[in-house]
Amino acid sequence: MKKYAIVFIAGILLVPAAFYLYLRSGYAPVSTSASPLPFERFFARLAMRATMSHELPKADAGPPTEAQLARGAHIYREYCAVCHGLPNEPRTAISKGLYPHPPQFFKPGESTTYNPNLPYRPAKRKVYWKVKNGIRLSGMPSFKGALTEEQIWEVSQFLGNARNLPPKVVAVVEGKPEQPQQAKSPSKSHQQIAADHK
Amino acid sequence: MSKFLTGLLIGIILVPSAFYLYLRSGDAPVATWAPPMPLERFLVRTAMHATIDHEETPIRLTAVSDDSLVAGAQIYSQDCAVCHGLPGRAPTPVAEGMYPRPPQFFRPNAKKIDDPASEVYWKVKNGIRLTGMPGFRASLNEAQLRELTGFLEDAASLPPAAIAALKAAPENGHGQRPPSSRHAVLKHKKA
Repeated sequence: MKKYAIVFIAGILLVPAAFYLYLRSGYAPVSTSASPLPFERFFARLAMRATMSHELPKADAGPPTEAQLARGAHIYREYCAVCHGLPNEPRTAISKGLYPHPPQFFKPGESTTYNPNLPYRPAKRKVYWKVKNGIRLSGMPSFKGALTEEQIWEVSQFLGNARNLPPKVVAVVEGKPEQPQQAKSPSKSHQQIAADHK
Repeated sequence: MSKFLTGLLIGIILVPSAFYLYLRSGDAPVATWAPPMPLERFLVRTAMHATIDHEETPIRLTAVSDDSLVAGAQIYSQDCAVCHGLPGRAPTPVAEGMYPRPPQFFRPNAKKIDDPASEVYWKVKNGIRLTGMPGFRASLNEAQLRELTGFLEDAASLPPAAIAALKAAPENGHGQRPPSSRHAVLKHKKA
């Protein structure tokens, strides 16, 4: 029986020890261009889904207005575009070098399409959660310190409609100069943005 | 003997199962503002240092001149500043929201970069997985990687020309600039 317990404990210690030695060996993938760790995707997705299912907001926001999409577009251009891309622009060096690769919401170097007959889609709650809380071990920051609740919804609404944006919103996201006055950085402290919401 | 093996096997299976259940529970830290996972720092640093020690090639930064520091500063403003900061500017919301927090190289009380050049070079070239640090091996050529490394090693004592190049960086501190600015970097190098 005693022998049994010792072996049992040895088994328990074996896995962490092997993992430690693997990391210690210098062969674990550290560079962003190396292949994934064993089971990395599986464990990462598992944890992300489990955590989100606890914490998703109760209600979806309704379908956005064009003004909301435009405000979302402005925030997107300011904070997200460096990694997640812009229509008609190549991917940045930062975006190309990240692991995991940040999803590209616009096909690099292509313009967007617009069908005025399609209704705008409401924001997805999961997108809202990711923008607000970030995703650890992925490079995705949390914006809950920088954006208001409303702004986080607006960005999420914009993303939900990235495939079907009206020309005005496209002009905002592409930073066309003919656009009316825009706040330089839509941070919480910015009264101007807060006033826009009214 | 079979009892022996069963015990070993159960022990082996127990740890991954516990880890699986931990992740499955929804209490594992996923948000970037949550506290670190148990042993996270320790394991991650072990792997990083072991890999870098294993792979790094000693590099000698030949002729760090004002020109090469200016070129490094231009690359830095375009590809690094959004996360690692600029002199006299507050960290961007992107930098504030990341986990782990990207080190800020130009904060008044910033930690001086005291890693050897070959380690800085390795990190810039290959990136650091699970941190948000990209690898620039596909976007920067060998000369640019060295200019950037030289710039970072000297970040605490830059000549005025290099500081001026940093100040010319766009407000939001990242590379959404007209393509011409990219060309300026390249042209500078050829000159």
